[in-house]
Parts: sequence; C-alpha cells; structure tokens
Amino acid sequence: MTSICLRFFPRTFAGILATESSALLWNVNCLAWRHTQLLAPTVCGTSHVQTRNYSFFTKLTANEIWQGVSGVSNAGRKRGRGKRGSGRRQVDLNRGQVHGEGRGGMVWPGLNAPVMKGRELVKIRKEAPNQQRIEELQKLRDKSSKFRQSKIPALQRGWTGAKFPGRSIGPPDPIGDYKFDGFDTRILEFKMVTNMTGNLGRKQKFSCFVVTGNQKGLAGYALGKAPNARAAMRKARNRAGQVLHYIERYEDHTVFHNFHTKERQTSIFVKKKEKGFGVVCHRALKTICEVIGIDDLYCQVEGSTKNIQNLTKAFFAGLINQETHQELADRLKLNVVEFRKETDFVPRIVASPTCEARDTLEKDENLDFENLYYGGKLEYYKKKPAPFYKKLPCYKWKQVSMHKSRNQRSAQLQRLALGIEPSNKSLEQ
Amino acid sequence: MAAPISESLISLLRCYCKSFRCYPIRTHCRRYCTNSLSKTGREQPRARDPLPIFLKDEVQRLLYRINSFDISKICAPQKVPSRKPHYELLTDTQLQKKQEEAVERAQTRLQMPPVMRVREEVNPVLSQDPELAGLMDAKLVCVDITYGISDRKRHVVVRDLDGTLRHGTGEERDRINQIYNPKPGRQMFTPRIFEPENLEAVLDKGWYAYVLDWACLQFEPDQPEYIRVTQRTYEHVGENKKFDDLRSTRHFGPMAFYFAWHKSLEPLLMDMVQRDLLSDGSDLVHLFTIIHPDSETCQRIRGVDDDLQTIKIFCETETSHSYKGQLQLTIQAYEDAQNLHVDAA
Repeated sequence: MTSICLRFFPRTFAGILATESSALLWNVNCLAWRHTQLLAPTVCGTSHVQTRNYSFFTKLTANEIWQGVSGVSNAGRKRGRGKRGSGRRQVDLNRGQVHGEGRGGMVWPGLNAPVMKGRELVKIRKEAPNQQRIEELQKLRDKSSKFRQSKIPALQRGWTGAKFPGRSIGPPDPIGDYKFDGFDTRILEFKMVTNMTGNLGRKQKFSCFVVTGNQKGLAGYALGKAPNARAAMRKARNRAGQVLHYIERYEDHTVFHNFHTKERQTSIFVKKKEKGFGVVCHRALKTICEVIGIDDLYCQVEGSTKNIQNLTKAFFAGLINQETHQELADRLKLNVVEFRKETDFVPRIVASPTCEARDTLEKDENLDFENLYYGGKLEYYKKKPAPFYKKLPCYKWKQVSMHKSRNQRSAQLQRLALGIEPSNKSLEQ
Repeated sequence: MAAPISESLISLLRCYCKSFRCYPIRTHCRRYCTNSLSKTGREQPRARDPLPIFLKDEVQRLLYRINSFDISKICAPQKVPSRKPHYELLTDTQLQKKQEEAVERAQTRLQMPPVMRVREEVNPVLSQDPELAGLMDAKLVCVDITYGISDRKRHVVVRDLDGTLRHGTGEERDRINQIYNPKPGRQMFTPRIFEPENLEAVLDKGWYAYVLDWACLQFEPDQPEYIRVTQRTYEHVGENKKFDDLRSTRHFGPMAFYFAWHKSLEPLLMDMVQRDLLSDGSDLVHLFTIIHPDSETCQRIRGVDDDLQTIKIFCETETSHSYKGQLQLTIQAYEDAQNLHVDAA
C-alpha cells in the first residue's frame, strides 16, 4: 500500500521530506508517515496520509513577504526607487479579531465567555453568528490600508502647500510673570543647514527664522537652530520674544511716510497707503505686516528677493527709523497737513510744530512729502506692456462692435427699475 | 402713477440704486442763478409767489445766518473711489490760505435752491392747420438748439396729430431739454424713489438730505414734482423734529422758509431754543415778520433787541393753541437752566 501511496502522491511525499526547516512540522510528518507505514499492512486496507504543503508562507514572516511584494531592492533604493512608498500599505489582519470569536458564533467558556454564570457551568454551544462581524473587520482593514494626511485648515497653512514658511506657531513661552498675550509667531524661513565637523562629518541642523508680534506695533524677529525641527522653532520663537521693537504706525493702519531701506543686496521701497488698500508686497513682508499690525502698505523689493533674513532686517530697520509727523513738523518747523478727496480736500492738520512755525521757505527746499525719505533714490518703475492682442485688427473690430452696445446694460437696469423694460414685462406681474 | 413695485423688481432696483447712489449727487452740486428766475407777464389769480420774498437780500441774509456752518458736516467723508491722501508741509500763512479756500468751496455748497410756486401751464396755440391732421402718426417737436440759450427760454414747438401747432407743455420741455442739453446726474424719467409710497419709505429711514439733494438734481425748482417732494420732506422733518439733520446743508434755509410761509414755525423754534440758538430763533421770527408783514408780531417786535423777548412775543401772538403751552414750557425750561448756570457761577 505504501508503494501505491507513493505512486499516487509522489510529489507530496517529496514535499514533506524537504520540510526540514520546521522541526515541529518535520517531526509530526515523520511520525505520521511512520505510523502509516507501521499500521498500513497490518490493520486495514486503506491508509491515511497527512500532507503539509510547503510554500514561502510557512517560511517567511508577514513583514518579509510584504516587503517582497511592495518593497524595493537595495540596489533599486540606491537608484532612488521607492522614495514615495508603494501604493498599498500593509494590512494587519489580526486587527479587530478577538481570540475565540469566529464565523460560526461558538461560545467557548473560558475563552470568549465566562466559565460560570451564577452557579451554573456554561456549556460549549453555538449561537447565531454575528452578521456584521465581517463588515466591521473589513472596515477596520480599509481604515488602516489607506493613507490619510492630517488636514490643516486653509488659513493655517503656510504660503505654500505643506511647507512651514508662513505658518503660525503661537506666542513665545512666558518669561517669569510676563505672558505674551496677543502675540503670534510666524515662520519666515525654515531650512536644513549642514556643518562639517572633524569628528562627526556632515552634521545637519534645522534653521528656523521667525517673526513674532502682537498686531499692535510690538514685534521682533530671530533665528533658531537645533538638530530637530520642533526645537529650532521653539528656540527661534522664544528668542524673537526677547528682542521686541515698538513700531510706530500712522493711525494704526500704515507707515508714516514712504521710505527706502537696504540690507546688503536687498533694497525695499515702502509706500504709505490709504485705508482699505491692503498689504501689497512680498509674501514675507506681508506676513511681517500682519504680525506688526500694518493693514495698508505697498512695497517694491529690488535686488535679492529670496534672502528672507536680509529682507526682514531691512524692513525692520526702515520701520524703526521712521519719523513721525510730529517729529517732522518740529524738525522743519512747518505744519504737516493732510488733504483727502473724500472730505473734499479740507486741510486737516496732522502735526504742527511745538515751537513757533517759521514763515519763510528757503529757495529750492525739498518739501515733497512723497520723496522726502527716499534719499535721492528712485523706484524702478517698468511700464506694463500692452497685451499683444491690442495690435490685432480683430481687436479694433471688436471695439467697433462693442461701441454700439456701450451703456446698454446700465440703460436696461434703469428701464427695469422704472418698469418700462419691454423684454421683462413678465417680471412686472 | 406707475404700478407699485413687485417683489421681483426689488432686487433689480437695489442693484440699480447701488450703481447710482452717492456719486452723482455730490459731484454735481447744482448751481442756481441768483436773479429772478421766471417772470411771466400775465398776472392771473394764482397762489402768492414766494420767490420775490425769498430772493430779498434781507431774507437771504437771515436764512444763511440761521443755517450753521459746520465744515466737517458739509465736507463729511463721502463714498468716492479709493485714493491716497496727499500731504503738504505748509507755513502758517499757507495753511490759512488753504483753509480759506476750503471754506469758500464749502460755502458754494450751501447755496439754497430757490423757493418757487408751481409753474404755470400756458401753451398758446400758434396755428390750427386741420389740413395736416392724420398726416403723421406721431407728434412732431421742433426745438431751438442754438448754443447758449438757457433751457427756460428755449423754444419748443409741438405739432399735434390733429394739425395744431402749439408751444410745448412743461413736461415736454423738460424731456426735450434733457435730450438736447442733458444735465449731469439727471435722468430721463422720474426715478421711482419720488413716487409717494417709496418716498415715505426713504423718509422713514431719515435720508432727508439725500432725497432733497436728488430732487434738486432731478427737477426744476418750479416743477410740481419738486415742490411736492420737498414739501413732504420738510413736513416729515418737522413731524420727527430732525431739524439738525438738515443743518449745514443747502436745504435748511428753504425748510425754515417753508415753515415760516405756512405759519408752522413752532417745532423749529422750540428746537432752536432747546439747542441754545436764541439768535437763530429771533432771526426766524424776523423772517416770519418779513413774510407776513400784516401779522401782529410785526407790530410788536419793532424796536425789541433781546432775542428771548422776540421769541416770547412770537409765542404770545402767533403760536397756535396746540403749540402755545409747549413753546412756553420750552422757554421756561431754558430760562431756568440759565438761572441755574448763573447761580452756579
């Protein structure tokens, strides 16, 4: 019979013989085989042959198998493959499974049920299977298999995507009794910097450049470096809280005057603007303005626009060196007078000299308030070229055809308001 | 009268009004010529004409005087396209000159629109030509568009369908003038804000100066519509005692004139006493005596210099029964307050 078995299942036996890696399996198999060999000719005419299928499932761990499917070889990694991770994530099939609970709905006392219930011994029995169990398991598996990025609200994101610059990191830590109430810190620059050391070689650190302020004119900036990102942010934030400057603002919304300021190759032309204009400038300057509490401003950055640190230094220096209207009036011994279109250019005295005002002006005295603080510099103003289509003949013809229908919309609105628009009689009813 | 506004039209109206509001009125502050505007030769039994009295120097002087001159109110911030303020560094003399210029500009804003009676509708027939009847299916209007003619003197002649040739009616003249000589900010058709029910809604909101400004722009001062709108507005102001809303606007004088003309000065007078504007009150009484020279007040205040005394005399002689007590109480309260003040000092 053995021979018959061998003839029928030659591959199976060969498989079993080769299962040497698992000692336990081997023993069991050998036992089974010996058993059948011993019993087969003597006891009965049929034989029971137990088989163990061999595959890598039995040989490798789950992690190793997953790596084989979705991972990248060492050689491939060196070439830069698999940097963004594979499409699917590893699923833990054990998750959500409770020991002793299965498809059948069996009750095993001591395993998934108490042994005693009151004074009665709980018996092994079958109950109605839980229909939702499979669905719940599937849900759990789906949850862990999909990659979910934590969502930052749109207003708390930085200038771009998932990058740090522009993001808020809260007020500096309190110093003693002083709490930085109303302060907000924003990251202006966040990067990795390296230093070569004799001992450690390329040593990497995070560098974080922040500005902090209370939106009421009090603000400061600082740089912090640390081996990890969080520490760098914390360092920078707390340092910024210790170097605060008070920045004078005109009516709490803009600067006192136009000015020019420069740091290395970065020069900025800052212009005073009316209420409601908004902050129109480089994004870093815009963030600084928000932190200081400047609402209306126009800036033109010339030279290097990418050196955020110099940009910040230049801007702060310019803001701190401003001359208030009162100081200007005292210096020149003249009245500083404001004229606004909305009040029909009624003169409004913004500042008058504390001492007696002079009554004569010197010849060729520069009193142009717009250019008073530019130091002879002029902003590079490039005229925007007209769009190409303005030269085309079709544009001209379009203008001609539009000429006919000019004012038609407003005339129609007027007719509608008066109830005499013929095309809208239905609206009247 | 047009049909009341349906719900669906309200949004369109809003849209339209938004595009039109504020700007035209401020930018087109209408100017009036200072001499007599209309003088028709015919003397017919009509209502008394207020214009000659209104244009008297004495009356003009009084009316300008009772209107306060608050430049911050006259030139209050208006909705204009955003524009950067400009700054100048000025010596004291330069500053003073600039201020004087601004005051002058503000004063031109306070020119009062003339108070007139409703214009006369006389369209004399020039010729009757029955042979032309049925020749055309629309009226023919001939207009003199010579450069430099004023709108009031322009010849507008209409040929009717039945062949009659006549002068244009007031309404026709307004329309034709606006076509050939458009006034900035004036619309071809009367805006619906001036329809009685809409006007009430706007007045209830307290937009008095707004309505009056727009009426000045839209109508001629002798147009029946203008007189209806302004008089209703003055009445509304009087009912709600919102006289201060019209101070430092060009409409305060005409309003005071209206109240004096119709012998209903008491609320305005009370307001003036309450605000400690006694000289204004006495000016108002004087205005009353000029308008009504036959009144008893006119005889009694002759030679009286004291402001309070003048008002008291007015209170005794002219005040209607319903207002007398109130006015007396107001004067009494004023006197008490003055005495208290003196005692404290």
